[in-house]
Amino acid sequence: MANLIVSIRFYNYMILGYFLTICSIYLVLNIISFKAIRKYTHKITHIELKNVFRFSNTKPISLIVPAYNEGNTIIDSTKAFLQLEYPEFQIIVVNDGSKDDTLDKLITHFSMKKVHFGVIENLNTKPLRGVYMSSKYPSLIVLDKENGGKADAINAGINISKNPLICVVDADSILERDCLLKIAHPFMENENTIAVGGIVRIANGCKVKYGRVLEIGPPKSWLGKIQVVEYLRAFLFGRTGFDSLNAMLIISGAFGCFKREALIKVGGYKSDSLGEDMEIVVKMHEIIRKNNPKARITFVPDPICWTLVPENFPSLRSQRIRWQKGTVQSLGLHKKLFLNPKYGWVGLLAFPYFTIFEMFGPIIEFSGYVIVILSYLLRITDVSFVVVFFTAAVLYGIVLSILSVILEEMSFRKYPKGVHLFILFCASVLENLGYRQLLTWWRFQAMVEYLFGARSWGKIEKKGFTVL
Amino acid sequence: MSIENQKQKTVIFAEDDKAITQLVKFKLEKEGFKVVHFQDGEGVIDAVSKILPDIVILDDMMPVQNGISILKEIKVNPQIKHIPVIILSDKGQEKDIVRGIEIGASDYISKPFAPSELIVRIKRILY
Amino acid sequence: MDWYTGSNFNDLIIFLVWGLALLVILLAIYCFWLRLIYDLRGKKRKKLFSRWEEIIFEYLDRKKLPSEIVESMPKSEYDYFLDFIKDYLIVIKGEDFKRLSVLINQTKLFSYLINKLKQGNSQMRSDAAFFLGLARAYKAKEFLRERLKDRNDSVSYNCALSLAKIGDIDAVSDILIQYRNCKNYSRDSLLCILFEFGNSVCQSLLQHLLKEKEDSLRILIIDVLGHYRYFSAGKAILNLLNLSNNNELRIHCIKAIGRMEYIEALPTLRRCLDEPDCVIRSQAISAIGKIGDITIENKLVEKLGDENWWVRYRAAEALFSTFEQGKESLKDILAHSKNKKAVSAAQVILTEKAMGV
Repeated sequence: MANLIVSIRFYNYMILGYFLTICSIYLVLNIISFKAIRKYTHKITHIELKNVFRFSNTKPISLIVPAYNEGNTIIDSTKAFLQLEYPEFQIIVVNDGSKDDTLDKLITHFSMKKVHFGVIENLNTKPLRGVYMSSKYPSLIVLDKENGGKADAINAGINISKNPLICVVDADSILERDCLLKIAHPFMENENTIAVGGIVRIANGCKVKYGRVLEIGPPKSWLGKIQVVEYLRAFLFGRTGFDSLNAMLIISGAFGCFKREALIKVGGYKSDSLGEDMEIVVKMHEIIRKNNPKARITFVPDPICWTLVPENFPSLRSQRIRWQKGTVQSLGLHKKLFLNPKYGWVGLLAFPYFTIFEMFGPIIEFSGYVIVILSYLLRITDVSFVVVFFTAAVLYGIVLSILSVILEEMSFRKYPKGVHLFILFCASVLENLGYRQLLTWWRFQAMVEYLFGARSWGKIEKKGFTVL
Repeated sequence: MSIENQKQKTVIFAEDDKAITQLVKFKLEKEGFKVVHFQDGEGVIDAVSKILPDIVILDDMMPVQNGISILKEIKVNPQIKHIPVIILSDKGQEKDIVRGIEIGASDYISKPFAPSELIVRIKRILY
Repeated sequence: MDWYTGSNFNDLIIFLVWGLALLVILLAIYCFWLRLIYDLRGKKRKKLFSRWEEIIFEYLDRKKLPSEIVESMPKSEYDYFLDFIKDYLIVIKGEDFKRLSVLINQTKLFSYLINKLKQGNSQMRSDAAFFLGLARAYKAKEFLRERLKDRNDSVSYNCALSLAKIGDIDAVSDILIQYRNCKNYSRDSLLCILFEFGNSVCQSLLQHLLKEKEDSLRILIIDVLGHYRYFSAGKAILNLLNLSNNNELRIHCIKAIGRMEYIEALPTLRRCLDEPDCVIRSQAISAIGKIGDITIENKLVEKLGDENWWVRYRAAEALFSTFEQGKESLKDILAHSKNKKAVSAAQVILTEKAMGV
């Protein structure tokens, strides 16, 4: 009994240490992000992005759109992608063996014909069934292939793309029209840039027409509203902060841009990956930055991509369980980066941060809740302390959430009405009271499943991007 | 023969940049044109078929449908293919201009552009 | 041992809780206050913009003088006005542009910007440099040149860009020297600056090319000369192509020569077709295709079977566009050739051309 009490005490210290560390990391990231975003918003007002239309040093882009059972939306989204502003780009829609009418709809609507077209690169993929092009839309290519998952579909797209920059976008993402101009700019600005991510915003609740966001509003359900704040915090603070240290480990699968040669060099996406969007970036850090320490994986803190998020518990749960497993897998595959000074801040900060707080975080937090209850039952601590400590933790979380709302207010101000601001505040409170604990529970379950459960990857679902 | 003596000419002008819209509209109206403005590509073709304007000015890059693809549709429609079209575009390289004229644009003006030049070109096509 | 359950620690953490609660409320208030400020600014901006819209058009119509617009403006509205006029200055040129730029160049706004450039913080300095360039403020060139050496990269870059817009050719060497010493912006950024000068920069760049020893700068200069098809530089570029060992430099030489269609380079280009570097081979093919050398049809057909995809692709492209019979011979290869690679290359080009890519 005495042993148990000692070890519980020891564990309590650990939890306290864990909590203090994560608080300070967040604080530092906050400060860095405030500076970085202010610098960016100032810079972007004076960049004449459209200059690329006049000069011959543009880097043409191939936009790869993996699509699996997207029959309902594929026409609208492809039409919207065709209207993007950029001097030279091609769109490659990859039909990943859909079971619905995705391919037929594309063929009929864009009057596409089957053509003979050899591949340029030889990344391994499931067999191609056909390449389609249209004389009405010369910049559009449709690939039809056997089902092999998102990563496999992207690889097939890379194989046929001709341009030096490759953007990968989810078929249901809504892109701002100048997004290609903005995401290609870091490649011009710094020749060592190999990959660029963007901010993903939540499209639920926005008025969308022809694949374009016309009016921005918060989602109807509170589960959606809470995710708005969650995304703001993850992107404005998490990503921007790590980006300033050139230590970004994820580019959201919803929209990202890569140098083609970098993708080829790392052998493309890993096709049986659970979180291919994180895996590819970690892999780039490992392989490319080893040879070229100056190589940059960076982030444009501009809201250029909108995506739909699940607004009911079962789908949100399965999404988060998938993300958690994806994170664990990606970290496991590249564990040699852990505390490896050769990889700069990635090895020394970002990788350990992800391992401790993202990977094992749920276990530590969950066991924390258990221990706290246990120590209360064993009368090691009194109830008032538990309550006060918990309150402090929640309040600190709320402060961070509100800070991200403030940062949004200082930079992009996408939510037009005052009442939206009020909603975001309420969501910040709810996010820390209930939502976060629910996520911890789900992610804990994911860890248990990953570590002890059946190792089958399951069917890779059509939406597979990681965010946090 | 001065312009005032003729029937008022109608221009369909599709452009999403606010500054250009204001300026060109002002200039055209001053010259006595009737301007029907669209801020994106939606419904432009329908309007051209219905109004049968004297000339169409299209921004190359607009939401919903871009100028070049509107131009293509105009030029394959026998009822409206005689209507002259001017493309106003950010893309100013030789290949872009050649492509625009090839598809059937009566003129191709790249941004930044001189508004007075645009007016002169319109007049040259119309009178 | 259990200091954290002790009353001191408990007090501390309760104190912390109250502090955090207060912070939450303060932050919320601050955020609403921010929103209020931005809303007010937005409204002011909208009001001013719609007022200026009318005035500006009257001004362009020569019904108003520059002084009438700017002299009566309170200083607090300057930044709004610059923001307003920016949209117009970016998209137009010609007579109307000149009249609008006068509003900045020959009014109080000019000294306002110069002061900002001299004394402001880094954001103000780079703002000022940007607007002076946008308005083609020739009188500001001395000030801008001084600021080329600014320790803030963005200021230095904006000054260089503005000098380019103004067309101050004499500043080219300063800009190149500054770049060589500091490398504080990327090659593409410098390219944009040099492009912005327009083709009048070519003569001066050619002089620099002849003196320049650093390959990375030579490449940039060659890119610009190629972009503007500055034919007089052909000989110098051809020399570099022949003499240099740096393949990256040579690739840029080939591209530029192709763009300016420099016929005298053909013998050299033909030799490049058999070099080990596949980029050199493919670029040489493109260049030859552009110049239109009709003597190498057979060589191009041979290159359709090259080991590199791009070489095959460029060869097919050149065949298609250079020779009257090119299309037919590609079709012929498609039908009869046993070389799979050549067939595939022919297929890609024929498909692309049929689709209008």
